[in-house]
Amino acid sequence: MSEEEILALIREALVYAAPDKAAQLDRIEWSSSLSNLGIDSIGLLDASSYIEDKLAAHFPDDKLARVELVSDFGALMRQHLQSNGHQDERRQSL
Amino acid sequence: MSSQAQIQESYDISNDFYRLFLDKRMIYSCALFTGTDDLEQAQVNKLNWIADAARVRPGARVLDIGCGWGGNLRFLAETRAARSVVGITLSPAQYDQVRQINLANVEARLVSYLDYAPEGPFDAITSIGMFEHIATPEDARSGRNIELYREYFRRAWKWTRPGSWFGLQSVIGLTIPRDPKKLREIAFVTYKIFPGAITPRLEAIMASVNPYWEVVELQTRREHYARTLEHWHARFRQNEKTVRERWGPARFDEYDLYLGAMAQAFMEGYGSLAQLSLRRLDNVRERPG
Repeated sequence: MSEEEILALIREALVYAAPDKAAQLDRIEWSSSLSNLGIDSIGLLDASSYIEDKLAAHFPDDKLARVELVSDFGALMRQHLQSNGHQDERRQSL
Repeated sequence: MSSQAQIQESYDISNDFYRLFLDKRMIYSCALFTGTDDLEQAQVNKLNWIADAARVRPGARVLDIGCGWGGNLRFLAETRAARSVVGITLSPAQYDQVRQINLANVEARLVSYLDYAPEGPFDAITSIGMFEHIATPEDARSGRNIELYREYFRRAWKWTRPGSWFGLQSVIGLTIPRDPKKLREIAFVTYKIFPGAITPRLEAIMASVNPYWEVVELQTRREHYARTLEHWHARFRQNEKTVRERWGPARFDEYDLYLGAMAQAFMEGYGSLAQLSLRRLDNVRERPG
């Protein structure tokens, strides 16, 4: 996934978690703080669940608990994508 | 740490209210159903396990941190022949009930463990279902929880004699549900039933005992908490009419949801229960007292 695709998926997940905040979520950046965007701990977990579904991932709870910025989410996703890179390539070639 | 107001939300609805679903000793924590399906016996099993974990011997002076309505204090004094048993609690309603225990060697203090100053050292410490109140959800998110837990263990170390043991029981978090309904049920219990409290993760307990205590034994009792909650939930439902009349339909619905959801949460592996036997590390370079 490209950086743009990762950011777009995070945006999609946050809109899923907080549909009433869709307008301001349109303008998120890597440095945006989730709490400033009005995403609480339940919203964070709803958004994580959405991303986990898309990536067939299950982020460790302790790492999720530390997510404060959009970039923290991005880092979690990149880490998952890298450690599953080989598997994904194989899946694509089938 | 849960504030006194938060503790009162969790434990001071009315002593009569909790009596409707707890065992006769009013032990509001996971029981041990080894060889029995009877809640009364299972609670005695648990109290024995914790007393054994703390190596409570006849004649011992014991501190119980978070003593609830005093069921464990009475048990330690009567069944385990402790010489002196002190319980601390932040709940005024629990404190009033403990003071009615008519035993010369049982005493209670209405005080936070953060302000408690014992009159003399203890031979053993027990703490059942209090650890969950040390850190708030905000502390856990910011990572401050480990230092708060460590401070709790440091105080316990300072209050005890060399050679002491500590029997500890706490709910532990295993994994956070992703199912939105279950997630909201657990959030409801965390923020509405036990405000200001958060279940620790086992690794947080393990990280924070150092350098004061050695973990000698650890048991996890997930299924036992599911069964305990099922017993409480069944008793609570048997008393539906009384609860609705005396405390209102909203209170019934709230506790009906909490007890049912938590039984399910333990059954499905979102939470578990840890029992630890800790031995005091006497070579720590701090002064006791």
